[in-house]
Amino acid sequence: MRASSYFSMQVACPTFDGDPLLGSLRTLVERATRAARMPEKRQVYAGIADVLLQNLERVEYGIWDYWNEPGKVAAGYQDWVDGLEGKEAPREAAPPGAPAYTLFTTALLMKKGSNTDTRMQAVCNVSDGKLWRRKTFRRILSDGVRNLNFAFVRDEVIYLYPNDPAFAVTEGHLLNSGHFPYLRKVEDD
Amino acid sequence: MTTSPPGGSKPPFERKILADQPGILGAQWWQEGLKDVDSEERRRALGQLLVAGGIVTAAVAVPVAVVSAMNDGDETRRPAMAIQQQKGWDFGADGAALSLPEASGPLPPAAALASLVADLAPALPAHRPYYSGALFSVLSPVSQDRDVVAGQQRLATVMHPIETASMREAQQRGTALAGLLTNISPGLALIVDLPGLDAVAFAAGTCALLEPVFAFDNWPHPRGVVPSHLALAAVLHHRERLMAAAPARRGSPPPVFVLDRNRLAAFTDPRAQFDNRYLARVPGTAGLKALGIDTVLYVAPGGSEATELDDLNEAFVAWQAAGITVQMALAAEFTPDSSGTYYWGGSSSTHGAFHARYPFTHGFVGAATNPPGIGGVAQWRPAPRTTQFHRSVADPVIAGGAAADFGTMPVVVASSGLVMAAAYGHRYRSRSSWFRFHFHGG
Repeated sequence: MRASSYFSMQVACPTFDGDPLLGSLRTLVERATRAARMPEKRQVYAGIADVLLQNLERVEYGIWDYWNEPGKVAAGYQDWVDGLEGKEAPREAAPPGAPAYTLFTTALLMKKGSNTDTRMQAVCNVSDGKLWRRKTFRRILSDGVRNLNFAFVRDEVIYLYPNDPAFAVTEGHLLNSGHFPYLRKVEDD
Repeated sequence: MTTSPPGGSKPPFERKILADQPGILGAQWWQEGLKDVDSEERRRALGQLLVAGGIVTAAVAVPVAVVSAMNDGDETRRPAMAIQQQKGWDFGADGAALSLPEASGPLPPAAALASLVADLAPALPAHRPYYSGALFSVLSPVSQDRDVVAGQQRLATVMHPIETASMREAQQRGTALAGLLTNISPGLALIVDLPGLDAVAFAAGTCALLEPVFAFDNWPHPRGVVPSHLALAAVLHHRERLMAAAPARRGSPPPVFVLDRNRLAAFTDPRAQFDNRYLARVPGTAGLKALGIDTVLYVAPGGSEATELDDLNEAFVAWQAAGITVQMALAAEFTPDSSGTYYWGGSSSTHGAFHARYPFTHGFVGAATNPPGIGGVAQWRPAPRTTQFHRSVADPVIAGGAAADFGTMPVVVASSGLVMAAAYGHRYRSRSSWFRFHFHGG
């Protein structure tokens, strides 16, 4: 892998049937699966950032990261690509009454040193005590994801799961299945 | 260097993966245009790298073609032992530890470990090209590198000689077989292909008559596919016996090529296993003939393992086509009588019948009775079959080609060619923000 950096973000929030948030995300991610040009990608990501910013109070768990050290980039990015292969996809419907969670994920492999990279690096320069604050997610979404320059994005992965209510993620699955040990509880400001 | 977004009618991004299933909706894209942007940088880096290429290849024995494909922070594959020799035997073990049976004695002194490779080398010069003491070098001072030295110190704290029940049995089986070979012609070679520790013990049982030629061509690893630390521990137990036998052997003793049958063990989990598999090192047809060998007796475990391993098939077929007799015997057919002495067929009355099944041993059959249910394998002859290995029969020393990834591991390398990090097993660790939290004071 050539000199690269990567940024990733995954957020989880409870959703319900007919939830506008779920509908918006599904529409945008479906567009992302067809967006091969930079303006389209920029629009999709700006749209996703807007939707998440509008619903940020509902986000209960999340993770984000930025790395540019050679020894960590390939492996870290590959982890997120593996997620797209469905290894973590839930296979069971939520029990009646239990909230079902929707997880949105994106990861970008960027050209190290490019303006795309330096912007994300700057946005992600957060002190350790504020890593999981809601306002940190807000800053990354508004200043970083919303203004992405895809000219220097080598590789991109984006996914939403589940894609069907029959494949719900419960909070128990999130916390106890072992598939999401890295997810952090998003802290209120 | 600057670039502008690629234009034209062709979209800059190409979709690599589309997932549209009930469980997940998403895609992976890559931008081909950035590959072109990088090509100039890549050429520059390659030019710099080739200047140092000789050093790189000498240090880690990686082909120039592989090294020259690297770039800063590249993930690539390296031969497993080359990685270990550069970064330490347990590189990437991630806290895993070796598991050894109870010690049969203390670890030999450092000086004895340092000379192990030389001490166990064949005395006959003609046998030496087929000897690989790579496994024995893991406890020798092969490098001044801090990681390697520290690794050896860790290994010395956990390694010790062992003698298991299966080893005691294998040694007695080897002794029993050697007892049947006292009248052999000099044209015989044995290949003992048993699990490493038992192969060592079997060879120890034959070493008064035959010259062991070890072909243990890897280093152990806590997550290793091949548990070669067991073979090493067995060698440490039999070291003195093996060394003492060498000067006592008369004339030109036939070779017994000692192989670890676990060398091709199943590599089932690339995320958790270290691929320290390797191919058998045996002579090619020309090599065998140069040694004057016209008969090869291949010793397999028995039971469900009564065939040659895949990496030997082409060689065996080629030997046979060249007029060399290749027969198989089974270690399991040597069993103890009521006194605990091992015989072929389990009795002194059946032992001599071995000569009838294997006429090249020129022994006295006498009134020996053919034991029921065993010896049928003597009729076995090698037959060509499709395997994943291709063996160059023209090669007089080693043979063998395998899948490109065989015996290699993914690593992240710097442009200098130095290994920077293991690139396997990372999926067992938490995600990168978890690293950040734990390792960067989060």
